[in-house]
Amino acid sequence: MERELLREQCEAYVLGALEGQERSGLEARLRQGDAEIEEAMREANQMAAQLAYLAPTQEPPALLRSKVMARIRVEAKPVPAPRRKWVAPVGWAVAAALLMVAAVERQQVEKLSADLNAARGLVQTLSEDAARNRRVLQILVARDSRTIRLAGTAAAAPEFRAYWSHAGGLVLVGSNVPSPAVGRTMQLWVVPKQGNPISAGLFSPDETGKVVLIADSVSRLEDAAALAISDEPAGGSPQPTTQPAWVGALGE
Amino acid sequence: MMSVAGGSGSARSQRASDAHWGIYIERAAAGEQQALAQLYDESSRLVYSVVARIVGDSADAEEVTLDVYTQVWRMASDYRPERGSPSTWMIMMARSRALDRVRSRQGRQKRETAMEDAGEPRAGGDAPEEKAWMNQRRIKVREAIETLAPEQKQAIEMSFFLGYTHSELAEQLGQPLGTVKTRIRLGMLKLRQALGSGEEWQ
Repeated sequence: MERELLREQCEAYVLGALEGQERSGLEARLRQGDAEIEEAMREANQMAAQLAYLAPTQEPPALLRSKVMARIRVEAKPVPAPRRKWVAPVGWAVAAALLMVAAVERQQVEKLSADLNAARGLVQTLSEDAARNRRVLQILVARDSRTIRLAGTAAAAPEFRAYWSHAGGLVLVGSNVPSPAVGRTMQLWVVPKQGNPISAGLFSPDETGKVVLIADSVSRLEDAAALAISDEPAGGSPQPTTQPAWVGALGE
Repeated sequence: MMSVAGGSGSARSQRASDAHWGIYIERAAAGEQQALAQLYDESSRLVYSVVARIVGDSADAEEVTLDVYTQVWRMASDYRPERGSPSTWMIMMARSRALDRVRSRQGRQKRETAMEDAGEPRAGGDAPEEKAWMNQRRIKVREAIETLAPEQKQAIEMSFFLGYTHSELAEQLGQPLGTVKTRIRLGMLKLRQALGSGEEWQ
């Protein structure tokens, strides 16, 4: 009975519904490190968290991930504030102390300057990301946009998708893509109906396995039969040197 | 260093996913930014959805979600598995920050608007690549909540998504305090029976 009551109180507490003496009483027991109440609270939290699944599913904005990672990069190396020590105000000791303070101030200025440069770099990166995302979006939403699926020739290889529009060009997108071996790269090819494959760009997945390649060199696909991706030496090859690992036919 | 294959395996259970998220958090605590990226990739739809439901505004939802992952990064070393699974930790953190946001811009009116705007879960809103376990869990919780009496469901949803206390609920619903408490108590009991114990979700 007592256990059930405790469970109910904990559930109301984690929902934020409990108030007054009931709330303060429960908090007092929590502060005492009551194992039973900690267990009940853990279960209540677990239960309440399930209610999150009642929220309508919403896709986070596309740029949010970049913003999160940009903020994390800024926070990655927290530098503790320099601590100033008290120095007895006599003779050389005062001079030494002043020199020390000056040195600390100089370090702070250098640190701030480095932070400012890092922030400038971040803004530049975000601007470039935004421009790239706009370009990809332009291709995806173009009226004549078409999708080409590139299936892997190896089992369990993730699928690539290429999107093409006359005005925007060609973009290749992939996720969960394994990284090429050291000294190797991935190369996208436009395979014409007649003649040799034409290189459309080199790429490697980012640290999370994502690929977004805007193939600026491709201006038309009318004469192409397929897109293909092969594993090549770093720096790329004039012609494929391995069998294609992904192929997507363009069709008519 | 532990190695985790990120994001694959649609058949992965919530328990397994929670284990992965726990490892990401552990790695994030060690300063590994990639681990946070992986955690974001696997959890952001759930986190963003609950935040958006609470704040009811996409700009605020974006900012709060950004704050949540920043807090996860900062507090990763404080995370204690014995106090709850990673998904519970993150969901309750997201809920708390979202409610803080609504309270700070206030007021109650906005909270109610958020609730009304959110409406019912949208059919077909789940992206095809969504983790199967997350989709299954969503279906199961939604089925469970439908077993509740409408007034129990209303009280619990208002409490979770609007952060109302018992007294506030009583005032909003025009019901005696005892009635509201009973609705929440019985509603949570039914949910527990329908969903099983918390242990099964870890």
